[in-house]
Amino acid sequence: MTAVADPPTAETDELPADWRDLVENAPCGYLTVALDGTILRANRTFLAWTGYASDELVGARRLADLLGLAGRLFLETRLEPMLRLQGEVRGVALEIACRGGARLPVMVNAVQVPGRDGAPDLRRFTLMDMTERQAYEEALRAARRQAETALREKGELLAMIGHDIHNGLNALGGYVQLMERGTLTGQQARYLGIMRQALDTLTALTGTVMAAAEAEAGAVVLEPRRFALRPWADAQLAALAPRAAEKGLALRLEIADTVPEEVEADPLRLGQIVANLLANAVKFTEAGEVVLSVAAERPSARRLRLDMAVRDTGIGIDPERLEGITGAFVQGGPDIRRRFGGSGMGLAIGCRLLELMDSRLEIESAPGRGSVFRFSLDLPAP
Amino acid sequence: MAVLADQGVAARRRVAARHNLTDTGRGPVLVFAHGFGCDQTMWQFVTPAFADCRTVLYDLVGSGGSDLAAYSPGRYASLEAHAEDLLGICEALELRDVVFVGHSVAATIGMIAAAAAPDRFRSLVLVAPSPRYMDDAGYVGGLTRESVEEFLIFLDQNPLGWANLMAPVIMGNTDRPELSSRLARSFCRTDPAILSHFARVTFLGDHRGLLPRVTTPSLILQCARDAVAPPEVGRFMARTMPAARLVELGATGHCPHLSAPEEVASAIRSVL
Repeated sequence: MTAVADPPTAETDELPADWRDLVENAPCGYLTVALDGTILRANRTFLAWTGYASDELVGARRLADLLGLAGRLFLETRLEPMLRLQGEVRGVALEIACRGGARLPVMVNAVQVPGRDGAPDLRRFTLMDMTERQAYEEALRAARRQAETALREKGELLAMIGHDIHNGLNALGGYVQLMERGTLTGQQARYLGIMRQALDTLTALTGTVMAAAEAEAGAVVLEPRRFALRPWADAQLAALAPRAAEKGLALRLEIADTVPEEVEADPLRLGQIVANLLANAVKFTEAGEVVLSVAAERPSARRLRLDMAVRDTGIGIDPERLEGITGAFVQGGPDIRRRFGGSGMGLAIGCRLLELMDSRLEIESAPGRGSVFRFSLDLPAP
Repeated sequence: MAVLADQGVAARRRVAARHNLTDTGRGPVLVFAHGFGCDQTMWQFVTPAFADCRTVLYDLVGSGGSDLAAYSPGRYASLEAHAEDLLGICEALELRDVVFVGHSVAATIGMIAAAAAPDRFRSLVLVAPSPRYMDDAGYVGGLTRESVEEFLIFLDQNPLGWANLMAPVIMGNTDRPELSSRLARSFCRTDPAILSHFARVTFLGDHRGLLPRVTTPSLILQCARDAVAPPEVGRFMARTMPAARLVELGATGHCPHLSAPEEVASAIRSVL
C-alpha cells in the first residue's frame, strides 16, 4: 500500500465499477482537502449525509466553513499542527454544519499524504456518523455529574451528622470528667476508665470522619494569612511530645536559614496536614527520631517555595503499597491496623488538603529504613 | 565564587527540567515560545534556518515535555506566571539582547515579559498574536464569548481528540513510508485537564492594556484567513504599540511557522 494521492482532477469514473461503488457509497464520508483547506473531493455518502451538492463543496468551500467556531479553533490550534507534524490524526469528534443548518456529529480520522508528481500534499478525511454515540456519551457525562453531586451531598450530610455526634460525645465526656472527680468504688473507677477510653477513641474517630466528609463535600475553604512559622512548627511538635517521650523517640525541628520568619498560608489546614504526618511518624517508629524539616526557596521575586518534610526512622512502607497509601482508608498492610490502630484516613485527608493548596504529597520509603513524607507549597513571597 | 557558579548550574538544570529546554548554537540569541495546543516541536521547520544563532526552545509549563506537576491552576491563572517563567529562563541561562519569537498566546507572554524587563530584549517577533481573542465594544477579536464557551465545552467533551494524538508516530521518509527510520516520537503531549484550564486563561484573557507599555521593537506577523487572529487584530496592535511594525504574510491559517516556515524565518532574519 502506497500513500500517494490521486490528482484531484481524476474522476472516480476511471475506477472499476466495484471500487467506485466502494469509494462513493461506503458507509462513511470521504473528503480530500488541499493544504489550504479547500475541499477537493467529497464522496456520495458525505453529500447524502450533509445535503450539499458536489459543486457546492468541491473547489467552493473549505473544511473550516463546515465547522462551528469551536471546531475551527480546534482545527487551527491542534488538528492542523498535528497533521503537519505527525501526518496523521485519529478519533477526533467534530460537528459538521449540514446544508439546512443541522449539525452532524462525526468521528474523524485524517492523514496528510504527498501529492503525486511534486504536487502539494493533500489531506484525506474519513468521517463516521456519531449521532447515537454522542447521545450515549452525553448520557454518561450526565450520569457522572449526577454521581459527583450525590457524593458531595452525602459528604455534606455526613459532616452535619458528624457534628451532632461530636456534640453528644462532648457532653458525655464532660459528665464522665465530673464523675471522675467524685468518690468512686474500685469497680466504678474501672468502668469509668473504660468509658473514658472508648470516648477518646470515638471523639478522635468522629473528628477524622468529619474532616473527610468536609473534604468530600468540597466544603473546605482555605483561609491563608500571614503567620510566624517557627512558633507554629513548635506547636505541631509539642502536641506530639508526650507520645514521643513515652516511646523514647527524639522529636526535632529543622528550619533552614532561607525560611522567612512569616509565611502566607492557611495555618490551620497546614497544621492538620503536618500534625497527621507527625502522628503517623511517631506511631510507626519504635526507635530513633522523627524530624520536621522546613526549607524555602525564591523561584522569583514574587513567589516563595516552602518545602516541608517529616522524616522518621520507623518501619517504612513496602514499595508496592506506596502507590495506594494516600488513597482513602488505606494503611500499610492488614496487620498494620491490628498493631497500630487508627483508620488510615488522616493521610487521605492530608492529600485532599494538599490538592486544595495545589500541592501533593511525595513519599520516599523502604521497609525497615524509615520514611520521608514531603510536600512543597507555592506561596506569595512575604 | 565556586558556590555562585554551582548555584548557576543548579538554576540552569532546574529550568531545563521544568521547561524541557533545548539550547543550541552560538551567536545572537533567539528564544522561541509555542502557542496553545502544542509544544516546541512546532518550531522545527523554522529553527534550522538559524544555525548561526543560539536558539533556545522551551515548553510552557503544562505543555509538551514540561514538568506537568509544576502546573498549578492557581499559579497559572494568568499569563503573568508564564512571563515570569520566561524571565526565569533568561536569567538562568544568562541571556541578553534576546530576540523573542512567540506564537499566538506566547506572543502575549513575551510582551508581558518585555514590558516588565525591557533591558533583557532586543526585539519581539509576534507570530499571529492577539492581545484579546474575543470581540468587544469597538474591537474585533475574531471570536465571540459564545464561541469560546463552545470551544471549552468541546475540549471537555473531546478528551480522546487530544489523548489519542499522544500516540507515538513514525517519522522519516514520507515518500517511502516502508523505508522510514521507524523513529518513534510523540508530538505535543497534553494533559486534557491542563489544556482546558490553559484554554480558559488564553481565550478569555484581555491584555490590550499592556500594548502601550511594550517599548521593545516588535514585529507583528499577521496571516491571511486566520480564524483565531484576524487582520483587524494585527492592525489594532500596530496602532496601539509604540514600536511595532506590521507585516502581512502570504501564509494562511493560524500557524505560518508550520505552513510557510521559510516566510516566517526570513521575517525573523530581518530583525537580527
